[in-house]
Amino acid sequence: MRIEEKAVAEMGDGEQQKMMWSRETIPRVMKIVGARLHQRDLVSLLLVSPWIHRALVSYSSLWLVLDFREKNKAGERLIAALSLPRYHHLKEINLEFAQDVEDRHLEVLRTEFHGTLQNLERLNLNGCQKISDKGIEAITSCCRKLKIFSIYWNVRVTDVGINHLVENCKHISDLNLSGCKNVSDKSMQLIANNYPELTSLNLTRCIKLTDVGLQQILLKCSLLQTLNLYALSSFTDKAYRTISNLPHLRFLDLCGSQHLSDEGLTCIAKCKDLVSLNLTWCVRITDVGVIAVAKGCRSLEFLSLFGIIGVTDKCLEVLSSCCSNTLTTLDVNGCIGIKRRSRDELLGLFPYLNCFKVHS
Amino acid sequence: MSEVDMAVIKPEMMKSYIWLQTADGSIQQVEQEVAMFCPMICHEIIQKGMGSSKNYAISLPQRVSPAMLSLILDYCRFHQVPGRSNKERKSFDEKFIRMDTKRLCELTSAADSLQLKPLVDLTSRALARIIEGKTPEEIREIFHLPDDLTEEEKLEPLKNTTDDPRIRLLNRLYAKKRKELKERQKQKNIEVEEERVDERSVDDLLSFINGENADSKGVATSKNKKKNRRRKDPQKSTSIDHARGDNESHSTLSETSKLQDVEDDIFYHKVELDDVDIDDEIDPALKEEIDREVEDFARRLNSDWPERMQELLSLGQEKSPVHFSINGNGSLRKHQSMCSVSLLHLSDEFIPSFLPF
Repeated sequence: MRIEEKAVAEMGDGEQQKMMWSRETIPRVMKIVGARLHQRDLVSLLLVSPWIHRALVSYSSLWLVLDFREKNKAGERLIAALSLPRYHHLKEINLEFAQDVEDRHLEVLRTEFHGTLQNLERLNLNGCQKISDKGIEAITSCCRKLKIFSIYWNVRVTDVGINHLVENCKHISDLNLSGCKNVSDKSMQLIANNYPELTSLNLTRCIKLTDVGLQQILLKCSLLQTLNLYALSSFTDKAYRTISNLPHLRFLDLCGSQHLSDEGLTCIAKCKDLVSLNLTWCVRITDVGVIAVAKGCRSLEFLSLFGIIGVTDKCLEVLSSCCSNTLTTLDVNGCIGIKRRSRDELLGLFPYLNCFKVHS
Repeated sequence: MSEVDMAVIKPEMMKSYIWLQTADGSIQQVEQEVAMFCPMICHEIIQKGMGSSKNYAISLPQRVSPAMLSLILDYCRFHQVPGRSNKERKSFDEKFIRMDTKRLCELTSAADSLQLKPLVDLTSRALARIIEGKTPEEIREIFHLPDDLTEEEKLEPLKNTTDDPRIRLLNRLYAKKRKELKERQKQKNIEVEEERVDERSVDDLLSFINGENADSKGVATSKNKKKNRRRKDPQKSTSIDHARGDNESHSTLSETSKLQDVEDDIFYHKVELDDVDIDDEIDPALKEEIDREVEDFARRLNSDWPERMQELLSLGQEKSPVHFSINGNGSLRKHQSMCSVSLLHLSDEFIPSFLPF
């Protein structure tokens, strides 16, 4: 509980003190505190007094992120915001699930704000379904230093858009194309040829991809740490085997990889730094594959075997002897081949388990 | 006995002390290891050789008052001891920052000037928690800040290039309030004070918008508009007096006068739109605030409408409220929440189509 009366009494008389307080002390303090506040509260602070306004607006490190997540008229808001000088050092724009973001807004960005966006590093267009290849061309041409690009769930993006991306932005390290169903092997080739230092790639539901495209990535993007192949059921061992080519792989999502066999999984087990592996619905897997993973990936923390009926208690025993110190998440729901999989039995094998369900 | 004598007699009791001087001139001794915890003091001692005697006391920055210094030294005294566990330190910190907001601010400022980052982090985290989610008005109250913008500056009309009826409504309110301000300045009676307090909630609304516009390029244009409007005002004063004479609750008071003036504001609304400076901008993050606040405000007005009608008729005002209600209701489109719609789509997407079952 704060003692406001005491504070008022201590304030003392004299306009002098009050002015010091509101014109110097508080603005200085708000600059320090500002770094810990969200956009919303920062804007509220701007409205408190002209002194705070002046102090905060000139402190550019407070204004490096524009967050319009789920806002409507986001395209217009973005343009309006960028005309304010304090946003001229932006590092991140987040338009995830924002409404009313269209190609023409991105084109305005290119013509009006070409210079001011040159340092942008992170762009999130997740769910901006009206954006097409044209919009991507526009935004990538003015944000050439982009490192993280995410355009999840957009069916208008095609290989043409990806081509613009690789032509304009040479420093991409994190790319999320989840749900971009119209992206094909051609894009994989472009990515593989241009981003040898890619560390994170999400291809969830890019259903046009085949082994050919995936292999390009696996052969050339050898620094990959995160690879998401969720709901891609057309790959085969031919490509899966090549995953062993990624020595730094830590997160691998193979949910729905119905053609993945023990042979393919045994190759994957060579990625010894794997921390998280999702094998939900990998229905051809048996104890052989899982045991290979247990022996190869000693730092495993997250494993889902949901829906795999070919695994038995045997693989859990081996898993326990190899990874019981690190495993905290294990989903064996639907694994009817495993007889002893009650919560207590699992805790007996893996004392640090805290999550028993990944897939719903 | 002098200090030197004591050192000779009991050498094992001799600790190193540093001399510090605060802006008010007072000088004190502090154990060296405690003082050295502050990088700024450390620097003075090591780089400049200061602090070893009273005459060479280290001058602390002006922001460090004796009271703040005492708090800071308490902090340093505890944390500079190496043996403490993280739990102990955390517990100390939690108790330490329990102080009023004003102190927290002074402490942040003082600690910052001494470059004592852990303490700055601690206090600024606490302040951030206080500020989170508050309106500008609330923040002003908590930190005892005066409303620096004059009433007049706050009432600059908004640009309305899209002819947004909500912004039109707001601009009308501003016009009305500017008139009221003028009346207040003329009359200066007690009721003025009371009404001012009551209208704070509308001021919140206005300050949301105007905080940004205070610096914008459009200000000059708006000031000219204001002058035009003032000339048209004089005949309103009597009707406002009538309204103010009413002894009902204060909210009733202000709303009556607002409604009366709205009629006249419609007269001006063409003027507002014509004069608009296209280069003005509103901080887009505020637009959502505007949406909500306008809705709330207009709802408040509309709900009192039947009583207001009665009053107007009884006061002999015969102006029809038609225009206002059309615009008032027309402008109230609910700010759609899109979140639920998007998330719905999300859940559909994630049901794998290849499920065996």
